[in-house]
Amino acid sequence: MDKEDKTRILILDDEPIVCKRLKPAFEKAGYEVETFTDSTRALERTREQDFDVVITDLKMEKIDGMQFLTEVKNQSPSTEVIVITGFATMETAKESLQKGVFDFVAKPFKIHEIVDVVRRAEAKRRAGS
Amino acid sequence: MRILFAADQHPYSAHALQVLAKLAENTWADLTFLGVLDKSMEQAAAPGTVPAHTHPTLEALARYRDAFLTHWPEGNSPYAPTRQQHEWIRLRQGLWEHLQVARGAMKELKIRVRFGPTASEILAAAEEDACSLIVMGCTPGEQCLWQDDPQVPQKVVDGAEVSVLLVKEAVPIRKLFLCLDESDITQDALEMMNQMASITGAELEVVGLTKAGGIKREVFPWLNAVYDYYKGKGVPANIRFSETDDFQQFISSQVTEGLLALWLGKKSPLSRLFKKKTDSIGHFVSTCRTSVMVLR
Repeated sequence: MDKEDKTRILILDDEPIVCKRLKPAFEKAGYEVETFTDSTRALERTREQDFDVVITDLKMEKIDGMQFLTEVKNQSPSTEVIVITGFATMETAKESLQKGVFDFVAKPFKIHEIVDVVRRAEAKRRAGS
Repeated sequence: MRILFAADQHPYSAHALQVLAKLAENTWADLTFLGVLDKSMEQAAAPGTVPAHTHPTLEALARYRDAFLTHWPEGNSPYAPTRQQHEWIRLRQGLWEHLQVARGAMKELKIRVRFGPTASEILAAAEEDACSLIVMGCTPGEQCLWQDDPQVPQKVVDGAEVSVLLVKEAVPIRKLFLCLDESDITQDALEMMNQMASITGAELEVVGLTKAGGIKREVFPWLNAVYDYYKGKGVPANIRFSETDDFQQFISSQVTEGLLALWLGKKSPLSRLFKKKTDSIGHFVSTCRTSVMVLR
């Protein structure tokens, strides 16, 4: 598949181990992946380039995940955002959905589970285009 | 997160459902409610029917589903289906039926029954569904059993590749005791405890298991790493120590309220310690009067 045709995913999590685990799994599944542990840098990158799917943690230093995903949806409403969090609460789940995220996934999760969520997000994008 | 709720028709399963509901409220995990029946019940089944549909376990599963779904405030449940549609469903090889099904829920709630040895079927379901956690109830007090097949909780704990939450009583969790030995703790286990601390608002005590009054060189870096992990996440944690040989006493005297979380990796010395006991891990789980989470 050409690089142009690949679904582009941005992953933001302040824990390097999460990025390290997800990047190769998504690349193996045929996606183009960029990972960030710093939310400010990730936000700068989304201003340079639209991503098809953004996977973001919520609780982070500097710009938190809720602020980040709000900015991403404002810049690119068609980007599907998936929240992953180690601090899941009903309030954050509801707030995320109100902000238009595609799914809310509590940690821990299996790779297969998050890949499935991204595939459903892709299908939604295809259906909408 | 995907959670497997392994249940039967006895009161401890209903208690476990309350704990599961609280977890689901916060995590919005995909859920499977699983009952297991004897293999012999399946053989006489007519195509397209669930055999022994009046079996108490199946009736209980339906009750648990209804209780779970009605427990959510109107319009707040990610498990509520939003549309009905007809789909071709395979009843058996060579036979399909166009059935009306409910779809559109944001999160999955599957109610399933399997036939075979109970513990093996629970373990197989957890693996096939790629679950991160198995939740199950067990008898309270100084035992941790299933009424119809007493060894089920122990067999599940011994065989599970993922974390298992054994709910002895549906009581508020005010303290989490995370007990660590010298083996590497997994990221999944750290994240699971993080969620538990966040959901319950309970204090976290990291307990380092020591041998002969000292702390092994291998344990110290792990304790530090775990402490730093939670500190970095803003989860207040205290560190304390317990002698491995006195661990049983520690459980019965100190873990009187809250959740006992045992890290039991494959190479865990703690795991080996349990193996020496005639009753394996069940011995320690029984000693604890509160709920136990076995972390993997």
